[in-house]
Amino acid sequence: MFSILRINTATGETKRESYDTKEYLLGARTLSSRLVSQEVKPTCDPLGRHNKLFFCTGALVGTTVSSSDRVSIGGKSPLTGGIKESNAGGVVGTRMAEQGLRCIALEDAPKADAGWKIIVIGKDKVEMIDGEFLAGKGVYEKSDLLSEKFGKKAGCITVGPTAEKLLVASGIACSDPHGVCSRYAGRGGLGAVMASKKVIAMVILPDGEVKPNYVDPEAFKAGSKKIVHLLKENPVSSKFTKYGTAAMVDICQALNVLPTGNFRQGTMEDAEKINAQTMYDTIKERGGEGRTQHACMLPCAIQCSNVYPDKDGKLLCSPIEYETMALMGSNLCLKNLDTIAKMNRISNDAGVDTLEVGAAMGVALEAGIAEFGDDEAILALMQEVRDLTPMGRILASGCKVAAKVLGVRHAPHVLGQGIPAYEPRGTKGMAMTYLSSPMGGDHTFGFTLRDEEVPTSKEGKVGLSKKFQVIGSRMDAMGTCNFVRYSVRNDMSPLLDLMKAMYDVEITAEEFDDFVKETLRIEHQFNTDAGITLADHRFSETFYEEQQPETGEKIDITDEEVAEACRW
Amino acid sequence: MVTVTFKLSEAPPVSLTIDQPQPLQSVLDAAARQAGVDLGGFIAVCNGRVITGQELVAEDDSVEVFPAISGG
Repeated sequence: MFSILRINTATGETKRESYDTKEYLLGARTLSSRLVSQEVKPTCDPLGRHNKLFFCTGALVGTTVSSSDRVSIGGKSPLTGGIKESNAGGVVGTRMAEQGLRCIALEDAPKADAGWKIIVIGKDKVEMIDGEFLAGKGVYEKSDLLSEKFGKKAGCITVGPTAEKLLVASGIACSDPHGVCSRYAGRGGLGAVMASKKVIAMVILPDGEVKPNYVDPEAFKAGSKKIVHLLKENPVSSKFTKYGTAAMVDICQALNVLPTGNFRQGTMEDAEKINAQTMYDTIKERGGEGRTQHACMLPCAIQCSNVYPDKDGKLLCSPIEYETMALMGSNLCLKNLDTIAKMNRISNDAGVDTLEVGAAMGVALEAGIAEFGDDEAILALMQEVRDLTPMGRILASGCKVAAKVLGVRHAPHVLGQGIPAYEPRGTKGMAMTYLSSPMGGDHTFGFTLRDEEVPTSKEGKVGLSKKFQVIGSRMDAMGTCNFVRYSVRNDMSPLLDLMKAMYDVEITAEEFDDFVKETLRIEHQFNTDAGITLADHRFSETFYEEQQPETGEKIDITDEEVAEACRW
Repeated sequence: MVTVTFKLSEAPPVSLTIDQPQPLQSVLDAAARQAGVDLGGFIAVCNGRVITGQELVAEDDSVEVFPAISGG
């Protein structure tokens, strides 16, 4: 049986229910998207009392299986107006498992003038305590205060000052193994949803006593070792260990898809100044607290995360990911890793999605608010987000809003969500994925780039995108890190066998993929019911009108092709 | 001489002499063997253009090979 803890944020009432279905067994996005679909009215105000926020763990959470403790957070997105699932690493999933919780649901909402609350979940009780002392503080200070009060081992979830103001580029920060709330479920504005319920933090105490119960412990142990073996042996996964996702800078530059100057170009001169090798060498040279590899959750055999130190070796930011290096680097024509790290740190402290605000800043620079490549001016703009100035609030409202307010037509978003770090005119597979994702511009599933024979051609890209939407969604479907997928891409049986050994429930590869496709179908249906149409599944018109300089390509994907890619 | 550079790898570039144009895959297999590189999934860029394993490479071509990973 799997438990869901329902918390009414208006009354403080709590209720625990138990279910024994495969949806609850798989958990993660499989569960969160079904709960949103079943319990949230699609037309509701995402920042109103009828929206709900679901925190779900996955099938193998709390076990010895590498990279399986992610937490999926689902609700209606205030950024896209559609369904949202955003997930994060860290220790929150682990602590939820120890408390025997597959899901925590935040329901209802108190009046807007109600005080801030912290929800504290322990083995003996669930409390809502005063959280006013956290109000207005940055995420790093909130994180320190939560650690001081509840200990570094607690699983803490918090939001930044931008979320407190209901700005829709705000994410949800989850604590890492060191007690720092630095692991973001960044996309879709779910931080604002949490804040709309006047919940400024949620803490899962490390006093849970629930241990995984294996039907066949020996088979599970062997299966868990097999996953580690597969990850260590896989040449792709092993690259992540050394360079992290930053390795993509060189790849995207070579493929003409490194977003540069508000997605006007796909290459940046001197891109090697911000590439993986430069970051690796800088971290090694500076030493101190710097780490070229680091685990965001335990256990993890990949360890793609990093700790980027300042010149004195003190932690400046952890982690720095490719998407941030591109959206807050090349997209703004910044060529200094220290500047990018500072931007990342301010974003994390403000509690915003680095991709969304990076895309918003790109349009702001195009509007002439500051010069592309001007480190100091751009850092000052970033600080405005943290300081909640009027311009900062515009940027923290995301790319689409910033473009409208600042009068920029070339706005890189789909469904109102800023597109990730692959210039779509240079990769029609990724363009197809952005256009057809139920989440808005999204890259974590449907990642076609490595498998596109001719990236600039749209031929065959409906099928390719759909193929990889399924492959990528498999990991989200069960709460496992996306980077495990390389090791099980052609054969999911190592993970399915683990579920069998743990629960004595047989899920075939076909049945599992049916769950994945059904999830996509449910998500699109929610969006349709929310009023989203094919006309929303488009880039800004400029992407269809203006050629990418390097390739001469425009977006030539039709609404009919997008409709086919959305059909499950 | 075809030059194959394995990016994000400590392996040095490999130069191969080929008599006539050959499919990239066979050139890469030979280069990977010589460099001691486990090829895995890859993205190959030849003279600034992405090419597939079936496409031909010829004398004086320069091929950059990237591990086919994704961002996050």
